[in-house]
This record gives sequence, C-alpha cells and structure tokens, in this order.
Amino acid sequence: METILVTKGLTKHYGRIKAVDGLDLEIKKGSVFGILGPNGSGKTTTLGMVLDVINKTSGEYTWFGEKPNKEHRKNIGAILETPIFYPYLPGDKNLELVCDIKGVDYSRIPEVIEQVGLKGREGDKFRTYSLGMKQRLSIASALLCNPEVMILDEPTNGLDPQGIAAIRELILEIAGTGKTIVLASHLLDEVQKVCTDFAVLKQGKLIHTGKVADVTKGEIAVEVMAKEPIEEILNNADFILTVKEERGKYILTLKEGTNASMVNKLLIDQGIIASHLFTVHQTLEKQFLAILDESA
Amino acid sequence: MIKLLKIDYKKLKGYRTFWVLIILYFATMGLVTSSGMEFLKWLVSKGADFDQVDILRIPLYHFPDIWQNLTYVSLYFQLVLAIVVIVSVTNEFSYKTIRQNIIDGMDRKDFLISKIMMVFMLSLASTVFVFLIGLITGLIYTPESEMRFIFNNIEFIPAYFLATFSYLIMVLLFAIWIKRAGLAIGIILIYPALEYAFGASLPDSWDPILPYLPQHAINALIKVPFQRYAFMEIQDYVDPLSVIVVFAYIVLFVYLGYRNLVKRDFN
Repeated sequence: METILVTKGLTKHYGRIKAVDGLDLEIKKGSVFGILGPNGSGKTTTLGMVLDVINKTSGEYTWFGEKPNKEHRKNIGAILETPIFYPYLPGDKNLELVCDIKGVDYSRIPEVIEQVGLKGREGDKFRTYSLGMKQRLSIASALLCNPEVMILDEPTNGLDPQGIAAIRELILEIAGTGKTIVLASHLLDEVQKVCTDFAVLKQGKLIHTGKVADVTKGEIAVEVMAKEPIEEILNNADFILTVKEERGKYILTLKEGTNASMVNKLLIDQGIIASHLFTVHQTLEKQFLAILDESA
Repeated sequence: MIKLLKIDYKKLKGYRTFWVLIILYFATMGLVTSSGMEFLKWLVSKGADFDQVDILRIPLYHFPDIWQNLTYVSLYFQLVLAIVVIVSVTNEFSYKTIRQNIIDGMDRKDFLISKIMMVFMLSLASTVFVFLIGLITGLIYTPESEMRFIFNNIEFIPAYFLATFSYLIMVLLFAIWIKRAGLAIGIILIYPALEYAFGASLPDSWDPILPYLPQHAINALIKVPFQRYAFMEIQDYVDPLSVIVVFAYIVLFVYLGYRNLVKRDFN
C-alpha cells in the first residue's frame, strides 16, 4: 500500500528535554491513524515537525515518499491545537486567505461552509464565533483544498457533547471518502470510534503501534442479570470459566469459542429469562492503559 | 511575488487599525508639508521678528529647493508607517497566524517576502504622495522664471524612497526579533537616540565610522537643508556612499530577518 507519511528517527530536543525521541512512524494511504498519548507525550510536537512549523533536531520524514516541501503542505489540510484565524476578518475572508495560500479556487468556500454547518455565519467576524464554530471553521479550512491527507490535533477539544458528536460524524464522513486522516488525541474513545490504526507515544517515544481492530476484537466478558437467582446455574455450567457478582450483575468469562447466546440458552433451558445480557468487548482504553503500564 | 503581496494586503484590508494609521499618516503629512508658507505667514502675522529678514521670501517651495526641503520634512512622519509595519508583523505572532500560514503551505521565506512587499508598497505610496505634493506646491509657489528648475535635484525623490524603504526594513527586522507590538514600537522610538548617543560617546578618532551606522546612513541620504537660508553650506546632493551603505544594510536586515524566521519554532 502507498505510504503517505514516514518518519525515521524523528527527534526534537528543547534544551535537555526530549520532546520527541527517535520516532519511527509509517502512515498508509486511506487509513485513519490515531496518535495517542498522555498530555505532553510529543503528539503536537511531532505533527509540528512534519508540518514544518517546528524545526527537527535530527531524523527525517517524507511526505508521499518525497522530501518534504511547501507544495506537499498545500495538499494537506491541517489544524494544530486551537483554531487559528485572523480575529478581525469574517469567516469567509479567512477561508479566502487559505485559498490564496494553497492556490485553491474560491468556489470551494461555500461548499466547505455548508459541509461543516456554518452556513449563515460565514460573514461574521471570527472573533464573534463560539468555540464550536471556530473548530468547524478550522475543519472547513482543512477541507478547502480537497486534501489527500487531513491532520487533526484534538479536534473535539473543548466542545460540548453535541459538538463532539457532530465533529466525529464529520471525520467518519471524510474518512469514508478514502482520505487519509491523522488524528492526535488523548480521548481513547474517540480514536476507537473513528481510527483504523493507532500509535501510542509516551515521553516522546513510540511505545506501540498497530491496528485498532486487532486490539478491540476480543470479547472479554458477558454480563447477565435476571430476576431469579442464577448464580448456581452459572457456576455449574462448564463453558463458564469465572463468575463475579457486581451490583446485581454477574460478570462471566467464557471458554474460547463460546458466546453470550449460549448463556442465554442455558438460562432459557432452566425456564429463566435474562433481564440483561451484554457482551463486553475489549476497549482501546484498557489496552492503552496496559501498554502504558508495560512501558513504565 | 504579486500573489504574496495580495495575501498580505488581504490581511490588512479588513483591519481597521491599518486604515486609521494610513489615513492619519497621509492626512497629517500632506497637511503639514504643504502648509509651510501658510505657517510662515501666520508667524509674521503674529508679529514674529527675524532681524529684518523677510521670511516670506525664503524659497521653501521653489523648484529645485523644494525637493530636498519636502523629502527631508516628510521623513519625520515615517514613524506612523513604522507602526503599521510593526502591527502587521507582531499580529501574526500574537494571533499565531504565521504558524497557520506555514501549515497551509507558505514557507518562512514566502512570509518574509510578503512583508517586504508590503513595506515596498508603503514606501512607494509615500514616495508618490510626496512627489505629487512637491509638484503641486512647487507649481503654485515657484515664480515663472525658476520653473525651468522643476526637475533639478529630483534625485531626492528616489533617495526619499530609499530612506523610507530601508528604515521600514529595519523596523520589520525589529518586529520579527521582538514579536511584541508595544515593545517594538518603544524600541524603534528610542533606537535613533541610542545610536546617536553611542556615536557621540565614541572618541573623536572614531568619527569616520559614524556614517556606517544604520540610522546615520539612512539619515545621511537626505541632509538637513534649512541652514542654506541662513547662508550656510549644506549638502544639497545625495551622497552615493550613503546609497551604497544603505543598500548593504537592507541586504543585511533581510538576511537577519530570514535567519531568525528559519530558525524559529512556532509552537
């Protein structure tokens, strides 16, 4: 598969602090790549280096397999941290400036404004926008050049739940069009919901990289609840390995190759109807914490 | 280049402070520089006495004197343009828009070129304005018999351009170095005084280096013309040496600004 971004030994030192330390990453075309890590783990510094706003101390990176230059950035839609625009200019004039820099026709502006749901407010000065609108405008600006790659750094930072859902929807929609998306976030739930691949940084070092699907495909437990006492039935079933009670719920771990439907059948055979039956999947969050723990 | 100029113009066009400063600049400069004779008349009407000299006969606005007189006085208004340049550059740092410009596909060199183009256009607009004022007031005040000198000493017009441009490039460098509008304005206000104080503190044997200091060199392009009306010798030409020194400073300032931008991290 075609690679979009490759970093080799990318390093940034601030005095004695190693913000990014020998980072090797490879991002493939069409993936939605999540960069995870606690605050201060070097996510933004890494993105800053590959976008040429931060000078690297050592190492290399390539865009689209080539030595990086400004023409690459014209085909990348990127926002780092907070939305940045000229506060005294209206939203659409700000987008015109981005068009001028990227060499994109102004006819794209109404399209992206529509796409992010800012229609009707594009003529207002940027400083009058709410945080959610500012985020939307920056996503609109990242979409302007119809980019092959989008880089989004904490795109839902500071948004209300509605805003978060809307932005997430937008990311999935964009990802659905085959664009490559790099998403830096410390919100694991967010990455799990939208990303295909992920990397974990800690203190500037890469400590894990892999597919989100590989991490989250395991079914780790089944929760079950019923009006009738069922603990004995559960304990006696040979395909159930462990039974643990938690606030009236029984949390079961099952033998490999078995699943919740067998628990359901077991209870029905005894004339009991479960009031709650739920398969707990592995979450990225648990994996992430485990990865961080391992590396400690 | 034109594209970069258009980008910078778009940034300024929607910025009210820019227009306030520009209008202030041209209005005050135009008013003050064209009303010299009216001012002298006013002095006389108030009974000012100049040892029997009829000051209304001073050929302030006569060709060819007017070119040096006018450009010399106009240079005092540069400070307003300097503030325009400072605000235009330091805003980019305080709003962090320079960072987003780079992310969007400008490089640091493009950014610097766009600001240099803006400085160039400001200097050019100011020069054209001063030229027109000179032409108009000169045509009004110059007696018929001296009209043939209309374009004598016109070299002060390009010298004015060079003085304005080089000064604003120096201001641009300060703005890039200092990043904060208030501090940068303060420093460019006191810088000439600092440089002259420094020059004065040097032992006399060092005097030959003075013309090579930046503010000295820029100021030497157009020397004070007014003592000639008290029968004193003045430098009524543009010294090629000053031109060369000023050009060298422009190159140096641009290089220093470029180096600073290239080495900087925009966190």
